[in-house]
Amino acid sequence: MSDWISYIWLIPGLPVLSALILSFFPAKSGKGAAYFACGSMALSFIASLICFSITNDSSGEVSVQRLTHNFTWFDVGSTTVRIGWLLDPLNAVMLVMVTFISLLVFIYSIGYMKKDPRIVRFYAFLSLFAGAMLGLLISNHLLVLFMCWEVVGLASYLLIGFWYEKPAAAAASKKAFITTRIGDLGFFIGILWLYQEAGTLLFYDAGQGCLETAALGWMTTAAGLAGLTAATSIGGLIFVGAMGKSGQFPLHVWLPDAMEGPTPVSALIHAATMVAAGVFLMARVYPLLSIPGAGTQALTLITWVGAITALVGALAACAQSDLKRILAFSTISQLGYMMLGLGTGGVAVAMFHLITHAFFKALLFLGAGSVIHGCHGEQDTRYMGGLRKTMPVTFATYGIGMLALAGFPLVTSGFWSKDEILHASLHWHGSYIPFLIALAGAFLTAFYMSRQMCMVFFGTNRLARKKHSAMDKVGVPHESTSSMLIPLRFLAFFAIFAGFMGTPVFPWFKSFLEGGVVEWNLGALLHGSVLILAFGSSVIVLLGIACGWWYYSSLVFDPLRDTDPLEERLPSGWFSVLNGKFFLDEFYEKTIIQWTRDLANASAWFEKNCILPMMDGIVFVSKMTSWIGRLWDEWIINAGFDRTCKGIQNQSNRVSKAHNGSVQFYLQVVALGFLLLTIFWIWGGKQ
Amino acid sequence: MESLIHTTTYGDILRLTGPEWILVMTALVVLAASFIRSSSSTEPCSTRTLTWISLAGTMLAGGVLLFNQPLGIVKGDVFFVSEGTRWVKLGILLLSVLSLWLHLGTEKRLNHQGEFHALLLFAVVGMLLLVGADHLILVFIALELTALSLYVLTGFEKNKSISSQTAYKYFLIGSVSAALLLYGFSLIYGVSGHMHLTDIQLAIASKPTDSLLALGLVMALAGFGFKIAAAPFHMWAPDVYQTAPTPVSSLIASASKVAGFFVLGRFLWGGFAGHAGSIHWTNWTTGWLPLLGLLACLSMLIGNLSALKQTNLRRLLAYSAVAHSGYALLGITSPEPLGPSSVSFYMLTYGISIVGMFGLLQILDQNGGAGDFKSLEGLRFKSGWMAACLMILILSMAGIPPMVGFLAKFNLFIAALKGSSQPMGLILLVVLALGASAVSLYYYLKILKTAFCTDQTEGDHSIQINAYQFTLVSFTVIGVIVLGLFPGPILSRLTHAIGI
Repeated sequence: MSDWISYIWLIPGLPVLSALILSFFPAKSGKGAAYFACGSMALSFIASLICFSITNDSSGEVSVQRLTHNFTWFDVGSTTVRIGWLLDPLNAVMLVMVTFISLLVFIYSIGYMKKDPRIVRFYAFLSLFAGAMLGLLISNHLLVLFMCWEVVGLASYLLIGFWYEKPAAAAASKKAFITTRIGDLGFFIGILWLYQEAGTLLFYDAGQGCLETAALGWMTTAAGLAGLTAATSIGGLIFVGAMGKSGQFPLHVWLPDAMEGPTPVSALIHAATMVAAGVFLMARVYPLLSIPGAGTQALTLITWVGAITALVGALAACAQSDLKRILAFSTISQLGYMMLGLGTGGVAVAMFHLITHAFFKALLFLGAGSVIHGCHGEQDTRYMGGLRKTMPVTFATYGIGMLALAGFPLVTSGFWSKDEILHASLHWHGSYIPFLIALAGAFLTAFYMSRQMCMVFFGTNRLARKKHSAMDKVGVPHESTSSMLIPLRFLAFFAIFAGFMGTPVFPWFKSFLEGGVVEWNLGALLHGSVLILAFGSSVIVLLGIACGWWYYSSLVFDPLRDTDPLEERLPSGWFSVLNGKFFLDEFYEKTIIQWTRDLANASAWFEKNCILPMMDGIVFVSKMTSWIGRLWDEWIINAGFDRTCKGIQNQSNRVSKAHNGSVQFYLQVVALGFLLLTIFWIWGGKQ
Repeated sequence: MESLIHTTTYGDILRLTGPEWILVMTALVVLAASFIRSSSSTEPCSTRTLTWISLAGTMLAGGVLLFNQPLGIVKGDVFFVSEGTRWVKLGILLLSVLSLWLHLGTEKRLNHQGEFHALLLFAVVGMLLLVGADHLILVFIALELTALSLYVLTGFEKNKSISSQTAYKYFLIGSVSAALLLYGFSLIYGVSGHMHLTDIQLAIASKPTDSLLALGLVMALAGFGFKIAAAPFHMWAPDVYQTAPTPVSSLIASASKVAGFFVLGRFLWGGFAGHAGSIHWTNWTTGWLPLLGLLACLSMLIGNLSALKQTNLRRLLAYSAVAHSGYALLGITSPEPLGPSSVSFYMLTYGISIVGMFGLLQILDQNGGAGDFKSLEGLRFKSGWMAACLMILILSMAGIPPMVGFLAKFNLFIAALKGSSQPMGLILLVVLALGASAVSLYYYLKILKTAFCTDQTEGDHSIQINAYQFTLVSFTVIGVIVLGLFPGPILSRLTHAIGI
């Protein structure tokens, strides 16, 4: 049983294999394909649970247990390229979370996508997406991780643009792909540099890996960019990749647009697979960022970027009206929190929020999908309202998700994980500002989520107000089918209870990830600022919810005529800035994209006027040469050969048939070659 | 190595040349079998039976080589068996088995099958001896054994005048080359006073290059150039590829090349390492390395450029083979172990793909094709699997990853760059080779375009493929892919074995 770790590749292998098999399914086999994909995902989930229980056995020991399986991939000359799998608490908990949420999303999609003619393709892409993410998790090699990372990017491109007939979806998929690629460039440079410094990209390799003491020690002394150490510079570069993938400011612009994909895809992107990859990557390379004595500039960068992202996302979310866009900005904001937690508190803090957030964000997205499904594709919250009566299950579960995201005190998982981050940022040595930003973000989160709740579920239904919605045809809002509601119930359960694995009283999660013995400690509550901070943040959250309720609960507004209540209360112009996402898209359009266009035009001109004539010249020379070659072959070799054949036919009795021009010529060439070699030797000798 | 044999007894010589003897015996058995049956009944012994006997003998030889081959040197250093020669010989036997398998699938019946198989086996014996030869006389005898057998085999379709014509031409050029080689050897003997490569090395290492020695080397190179079809000694190749029976063409194109390249590398580095000279582009000194470079350039250029305009697929393959010889010559410029191992791996994998290509050509011929581009049209509709196989084989030959052709070529270029005492010295030649590879894509892709991008016509119907052809082509395709993905076991074994 000691080498069972070498079979861990089955966890990503099963979904990838099912993606491969599904690509051969006939397009008509809609439900069969869905069940097939769900089945393979369920197997992966079971395997992940086994892995998790194995790592859980070793928790409570002082040091973290890591199981690795490294093997030779191929040799090039004397260089051996080794890759490997890795299992440690960090990825074990991620494996369970990713497979669980993927499984729920897969089940949910059976109902959500049942009318789509391309459901087989959808499941193939979805399986690839999940499989690539799982491969990223178990990889013990940074380059393999990067490959899976890129496959995740590819699958997200395919899925965001799944309804490629919609121009917005096609544009969004391109935007997501290109924006994350910018981050990946930094990441890749970081990988190359790391290879240069450490000589290996294996994370853990019995003391020889790039995240182990020997390599880290060397990188502490090696010089990097601008007076930083190599370790810090590499960490910063890798973080650029995480910024793209995890939607950190200013590379977050693709995330709201990615809402153009089918809602289950959004749930998967926002909860389990794509954006989590960036945070996971930073958690994976955390040893590189936190070497004692190597400088913590990379962590400082992460903290500040996280804080800014948290604030920007939350601010923009307050002024959106599209149901899924609000959630998208909330994801950006929450990812900011995770990075903030990573920068100030370490892996356990960030990962705890990542896990709890995954549950309630998947819940919110799947709930949003249910709402959209029930409203016949309407996504604008201004046209919703009053849905609590027609969609009770969705309402209840969505409410739980909303409370968890807002961080409602004590009973929700979001409260505990967000409190950890607040606590960590409070004690950060660098500055108080990130802490204050995080507090402001907590208020804003509570505000925009209660705003959304009010607009969607309370008040009166406004779907009929939409001019173009033909009510006769689409009917009234309705509750969704059970295959969509069951995942919601599961997720709602975890949105509440997942938080209890990391309370200050019983910090099991932290000890699981970082080693050490966990025990009940009620005194921890009274220790230091824990209780005060918990109380303070509770007040802020309740204040935010109250604010949102006060502004929006009694809302009876006409979506076509009235302005948003927030817009009336804010100074003029502020709301449009928030609604326009700080005009970052427009800024990029005017600057980078415009420059790129100019450059493209310039190179097109250069291509047309300089390269093409040159190419024509080369083509002409090549043609001439091959033309000569053909003449040679046809007129000198073949002609002689044909003449020979004719000669044989006509004069078959003659013995002299071999003594024709052809063979003589062949021999002349041999003689010529011999002469050439001799002359070449002699000529060479005179050099 | 404990099992190293270094002795004079005939028993040990027999043990060292075990595989060769098994092949010779098999050839005699095949000859006898063809007579036994023909005297008792009017029907001669069926061709397939003979092929099966030959296959069994070849595989037995391979088995002996693989599991029960002592290593050693025959007294007088005439012939030696090392880890390296063992693996190269195994490769040659594998390619011979594939060529015989190709013959198994032939529907066209030729007369004198007993002689055909016997000659084919003798040719293989010659190649095996060539690989182990350490003595100029044995090198020459082995070369001639192979060549004479192949001359006859080329002209085996005696009722076709073109066939005899080509064989005669092949023979004439071959004889001239043999004469050059022999004269070169005699000059080398005259200068050094020795016939063993190691002795020659010792005798002339300290001397400056004698002009007689230079002449001898040039002559020997010209002779070897014929064997490996390097330009300008390649004139026979297109005719032979086009007219020889398919299994013979495939043997000439694959196994015979492996042996030729191996012995060329051994001859030059084993006997004349001190007179190599240098083709470092900043430090050009006279020797045989510049000649290799010249041959490589000419082969790459002439091979690829002539292939561009070919309409006959076999002629095209012949010219592409000339180009491939050019690439492989680059590898020869690098000394042991990197050079010979990368060249052997390259020729071995190239051999596998070209045997597969000949299998495909045989299928096309059998279905009424004239061996030109037209016979490929609509292959996608006639047999999807064969079209896919064609694509993989062609892409491998063109050097596209993940097929093994890429990796083999990559290794070769690495060997060329690392081989000389000053690294990156051959960079200009490697750049030329990369350019030549790019040119070769044109005609490779033209083949694929014809097979895939022609419209379906009324006349298209699925083509007839027998089980032998199917297994052969599928085997080579799987080999090309598997070796491309997991080259480690073979490549490291070759490097390790030749390094000893």
